[in-house]
Amino acid sequence: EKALDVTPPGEFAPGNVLTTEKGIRSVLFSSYAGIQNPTPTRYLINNAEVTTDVGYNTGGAENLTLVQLINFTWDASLGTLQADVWAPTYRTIRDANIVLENIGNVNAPDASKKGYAAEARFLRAYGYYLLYIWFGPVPLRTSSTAEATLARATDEQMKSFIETELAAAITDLPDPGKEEAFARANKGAAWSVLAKFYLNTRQWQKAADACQQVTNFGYYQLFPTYQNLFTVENEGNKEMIMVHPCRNQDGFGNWYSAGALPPGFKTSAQVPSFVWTASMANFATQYRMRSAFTNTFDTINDQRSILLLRHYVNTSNAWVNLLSTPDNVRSLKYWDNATVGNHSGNDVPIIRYADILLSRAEALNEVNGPTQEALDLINQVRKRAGIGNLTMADATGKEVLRDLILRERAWEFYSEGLRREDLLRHDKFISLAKARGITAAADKHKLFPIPQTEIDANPACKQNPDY
Amino acid sequence: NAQNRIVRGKVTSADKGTTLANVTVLLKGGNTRTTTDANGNFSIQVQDNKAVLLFYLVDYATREVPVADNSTLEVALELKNENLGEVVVVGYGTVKKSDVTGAVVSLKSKDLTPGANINVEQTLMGRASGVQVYQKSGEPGSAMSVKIRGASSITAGNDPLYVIDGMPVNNLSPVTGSGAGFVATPNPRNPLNSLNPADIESVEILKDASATAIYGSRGSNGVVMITTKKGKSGRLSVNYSTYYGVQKASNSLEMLTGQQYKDVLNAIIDDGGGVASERVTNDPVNVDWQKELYRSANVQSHDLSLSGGKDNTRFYASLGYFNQEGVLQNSSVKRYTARLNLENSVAQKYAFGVSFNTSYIRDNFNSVGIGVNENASALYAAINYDPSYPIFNTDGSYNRSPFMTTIDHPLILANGQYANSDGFRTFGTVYGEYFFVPGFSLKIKGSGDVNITQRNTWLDPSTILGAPTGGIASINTGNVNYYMGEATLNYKKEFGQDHVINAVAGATSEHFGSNSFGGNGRGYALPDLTYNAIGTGNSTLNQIGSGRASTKIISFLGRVNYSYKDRYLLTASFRADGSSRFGVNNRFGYFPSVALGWKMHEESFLKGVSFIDELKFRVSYGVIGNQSIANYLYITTFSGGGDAVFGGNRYTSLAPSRVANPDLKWEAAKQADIGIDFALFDSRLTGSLEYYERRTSDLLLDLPQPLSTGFAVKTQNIGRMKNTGIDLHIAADVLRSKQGFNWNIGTVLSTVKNRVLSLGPLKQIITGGAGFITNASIIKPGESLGSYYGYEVLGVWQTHDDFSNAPTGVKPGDLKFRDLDNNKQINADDRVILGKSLPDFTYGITNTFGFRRVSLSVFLEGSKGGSVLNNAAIDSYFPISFRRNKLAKPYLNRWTPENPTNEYPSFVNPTSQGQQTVNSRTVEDASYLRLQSVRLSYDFNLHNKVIKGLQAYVTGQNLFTITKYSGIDPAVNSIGDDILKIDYSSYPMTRSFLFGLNVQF
Repeated sequence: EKALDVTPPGEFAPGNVLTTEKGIRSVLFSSYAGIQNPTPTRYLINNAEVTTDVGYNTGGAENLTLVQLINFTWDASLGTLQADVWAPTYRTIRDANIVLENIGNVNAPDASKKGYAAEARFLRAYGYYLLYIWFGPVPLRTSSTAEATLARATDEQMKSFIETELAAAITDLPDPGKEEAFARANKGAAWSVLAKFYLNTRQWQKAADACQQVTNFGYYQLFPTYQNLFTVENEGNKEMIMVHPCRNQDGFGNWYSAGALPPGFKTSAQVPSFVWTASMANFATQYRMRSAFTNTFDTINDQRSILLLRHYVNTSNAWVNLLSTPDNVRSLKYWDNATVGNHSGNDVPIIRYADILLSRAEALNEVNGPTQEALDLINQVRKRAGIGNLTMADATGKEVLRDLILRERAWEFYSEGLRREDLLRHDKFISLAKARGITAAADKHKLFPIPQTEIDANPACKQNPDY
Repeated sequence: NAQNRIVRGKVTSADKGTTLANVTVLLKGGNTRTTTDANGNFSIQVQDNKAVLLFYLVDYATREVPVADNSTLEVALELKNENLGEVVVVGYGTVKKSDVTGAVVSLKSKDLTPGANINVEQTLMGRASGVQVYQKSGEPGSAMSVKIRGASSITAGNDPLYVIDGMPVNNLSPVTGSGAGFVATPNPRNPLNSLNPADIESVEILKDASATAIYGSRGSNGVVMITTKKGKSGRLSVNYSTYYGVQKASNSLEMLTGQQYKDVLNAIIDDGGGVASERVTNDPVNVDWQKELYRSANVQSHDLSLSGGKDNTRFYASLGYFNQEGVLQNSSVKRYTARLNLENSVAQKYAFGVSFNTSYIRDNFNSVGIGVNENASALYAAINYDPSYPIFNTDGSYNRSPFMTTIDHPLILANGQYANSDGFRTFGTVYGEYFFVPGFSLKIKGSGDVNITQRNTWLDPSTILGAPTGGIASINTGNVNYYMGEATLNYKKEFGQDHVINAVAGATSEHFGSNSFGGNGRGYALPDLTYNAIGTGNSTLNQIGSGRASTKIISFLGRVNYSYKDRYLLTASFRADGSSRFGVNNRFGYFPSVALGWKMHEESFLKGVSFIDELKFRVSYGVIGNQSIANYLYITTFSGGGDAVFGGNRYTSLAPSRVANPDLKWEAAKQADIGIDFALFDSRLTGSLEYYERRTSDLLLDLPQPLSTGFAVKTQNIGRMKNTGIDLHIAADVLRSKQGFNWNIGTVLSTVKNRVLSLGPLKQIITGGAGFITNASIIKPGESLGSYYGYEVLGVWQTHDDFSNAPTGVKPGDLKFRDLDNNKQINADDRVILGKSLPDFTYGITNTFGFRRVSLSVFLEGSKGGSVLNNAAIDSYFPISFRRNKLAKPYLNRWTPENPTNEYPSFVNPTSQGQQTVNSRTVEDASYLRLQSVRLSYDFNLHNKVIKGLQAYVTGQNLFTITKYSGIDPAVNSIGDDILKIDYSSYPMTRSFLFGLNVQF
């Protein structure tokens, strides 16, 4: 029997990993890797936009998936829900649980241990927040040794967990800018996630307060030019509170541009600094923007519309007008001249300071109706975009301002994957789909179905209604 | 003194009359022995007239001669008849063919399929009942699918155990990575290519538990015992065999020509499909891209062997050279082999020897993986590429169609994306056997196998994938090694007239190791030197990695064969295996078996029946195992996770490797077998018929975990499966004419019915795919493994159909799917089982005609009842992009209001209902009947002092196939799966014509 004992020569023994600072840190980084999710971010963006009044798609293999989302015919077997959202997020949660369970035994200074624990707590809570927004309450795993079969938490348990865990993490996280490197967790990110959680669960006063906490750091600010906000050169600017960090390398690339580029794109007078080279991929699939959205832009003044490609010169040097085909404008938000194949290096924002400003404005409006304070917040964002201020004359009532904010958010955050949650919060997700002629759209679509593989393997986990 | 007298004598060869030296002469029941001298003379002391002398010599039938009153004896020994008294190799020993109690197929080298075969598996196709062999691809040297009595496992391996001259073969590939950016072929080269088929004397296939249980934990998929040629006593025999041949792709897909492409695509745009900007406006040329990639390819083989022996020593030595080009550019295999088998022995006293094989294999690979778009293989590109633009620009450079942005030019891929590997494999066995007394010996054996491979890969900057990075070079190296020590005690004794016992007991210790290292570089300023100067790229982009693993198995085994009155046979065996792949809770597994045989023809009541030469019944039962799973599944460890990115820099991470399962144990198969062997009418009609049932339980299943645990699977012993089937083998000498005309028919038929019985807590597992295809199959209790799962196509929506219950958005000309739940949506709930990849039965028919010196052999093989998923059809029914080329037949006959067919849709809006890629149109019947080989040979009548024999032949391989399958070939499988079959831009099968010579000196 002894002769048959082997130790895997190419793998690490748990004893070494879970008791040393370097080891536990490596597990923490694996937890980060789960939600950083760079390459699949295009699905996070598209899934949350082709289901709305903003995004559209045709052609290519990705259309296999996206057409189901466009037509509201998706079901629990839709691969992206599992592969891009459910599985990686739960890996983050798994690794965060391991860190939290073992941090007490790690041979390291208490301050470091507290910091690591706070990061793990933050990652886990953010993971559950993300899952909650997509799927509703989910199995709440807080231990790596829990039974594989686990029922979904109640809505109350879920919300309470996210709220208390984020609050607990904030205490020991570093101040914004004091984290070891950009994209490590800090107090600003934790308050921001909490703010978005309150907002999306319509806890307006708490949302407004949490946004104020973010502002109070005095650290975050709007980047001066919208057009350059997303470039690789400006990564880590003080508007980016939380991002999916990307690099122009295999496994770390942002693939959005490869899908958004129209056929044969070479250059465009709209974004002359971006020049396509033979090194860059141009996918068969076409990420397109809906005319009903792009037509609302003030293309003369609104700087944000520059990144919405309306015409271009193709590789045969012909000028192509994208407006001649409906729903055919392209988003070049993530252009990168150093793109290698599919892989652009642009980080994809998760929470920007502009979102915090607009979120606070929205929350304040819900609490008090239109106020100058709310308008000032919105106008900070509009000013950077180059368009005029909203005044109390525009905001004639709570509902009017609510709609103005929703419209502002579309202009500000297109191609950032926020539209679905915005429409859900405004209760327009289904009604707008129906207005687009999608008769299949129904209330059940407000939540995505739990991936079928989970339902199959975890009998205690019940599917969302009507799926 | 009559009680102690000397008997003298001479031993001669019965056929030639020459004297025989070194014949062992043994007093039966005693220890007295001697050997004949150079003139065949012997003398031996015997005690009385009842004494019986035994005469042993290798290659000759053993004789028993009673001394009686004789003082001198003339004994003639007969060369062993090939059929009578034939010996069959079984695990850890041999048995007389007539005494076999298990289900064993024994094939001699002449029974193997002739032709350009690089490995033994190719020679088995359709030759052995109960063995399902098919060639998954026409790529030279690629792995075959070999199943003995079907698949017994879902996620543990289904390959049989190969044993070469008593050495279990570790068939792991030393290099698993394909190289950065290079999509690996899912059908890697076969590790058995290292063994030259020309060196094979016989192949025994052990099928039932009685035969395989002696291999215990590796027996459940059957065992293929390969015995290499041994030297024969006598003069030096030199043999030279060669063949040369030409191969061509046997089929290609019929795609739209340039003109058809223009007409059809523009017509679809006119009908409201596509986008106006994608209209074909150029004056089309007609490029057949598949033809551009194919070539006429040569194959040649040279084998030189020397064998002979003197006194107690015999040897066989051989050199081999094999060189096969692939019909796809830049693919080939070249092999050099050398073998030495050496033995020194005195019968019933001692024997020792070595068996040694070494090889060097050079493989060249084109990209034939299952990648898509920019990762696609040249073949995928050839099927999908725009056929309307010329191949070259006017300046001679490759001309990329402006509409093919994601797929590369097929010829750029074929020439700019390639890999090659150098493989060095040496294996061999040294053994010694010592007889304490006649019939009782100790045998010690040591074996080793080292397989070292380096694989080089290059993606040229001229390709879409290589361009962004300035070329990608990779080198992956690895070695797989295996060492074994084995000791067995062998005992054979007759008790009186009626009882014979033959027993073996032993112990073995085996070690399996593997090491790998790989690195890749990018960004080459000058790409001239490719991987040969891997370090000259941009050093910041270099990547390296390594791996190391080992496994041990310790075993104890025993077997008893008992025969009563040479009529009733009993075999019982037992093996205990301990493996490091399992935790201490279940480290050892125990595998017993028992078999009974009844030689009915020996019974008195059949003695008078003249037309029955042999009639034997046998039954067997046993437990066998499967341990083909990954290492270390019972240990909790951490290994490298994905990198995190902070501040634009990458940071490595560690993540848990798996959900450990300390209770993991063997997959156990219980197999029962009943069979009958017969030889009738002067053995002109021979054969065997067997029925078996194998129930696998405690399946080593990669059980899907709730992904919420953070893990995808946990390997568990869960679930049950059953295989039942019939193996039939019949050989008939239809004609044996005095004029020299002979006609022999050999037929094998194998049926397998597979049923999954239980998946433990799971209702079903939906899995399997390639490229963009996912979830192509379902594993479900009550169904066969490899069941395709998808949508049933009822026809095409016609203009006057009732659309009130139609799915939203459906228009006339769209495919009509069965809406199972009538919810006006075609979604996952509407899927049904569409067929299964595993055939109901496979068969082979060999007709051999002989007329004097001319021999004609015609071999047909076929398969019935299996299906295959056709990806070329999927790409046409659900095009990834409008401008990709399409299959001609569906598009030229597409639905239009004027052509209201139910066969093909209009293709105007092919994805309007989503992408039901796996459906009853794309899952096709893969039954076929193939004329696999025809061989015509002539034996020259030579009376030459130098040349003793000369045979010339021509062989045609894969001459025609009858099938309903619309894809490239019904047998292909491009996804490397053992069970599920998908035809995904498959490397075409080849048709070849060979001319060969065999010369004996």
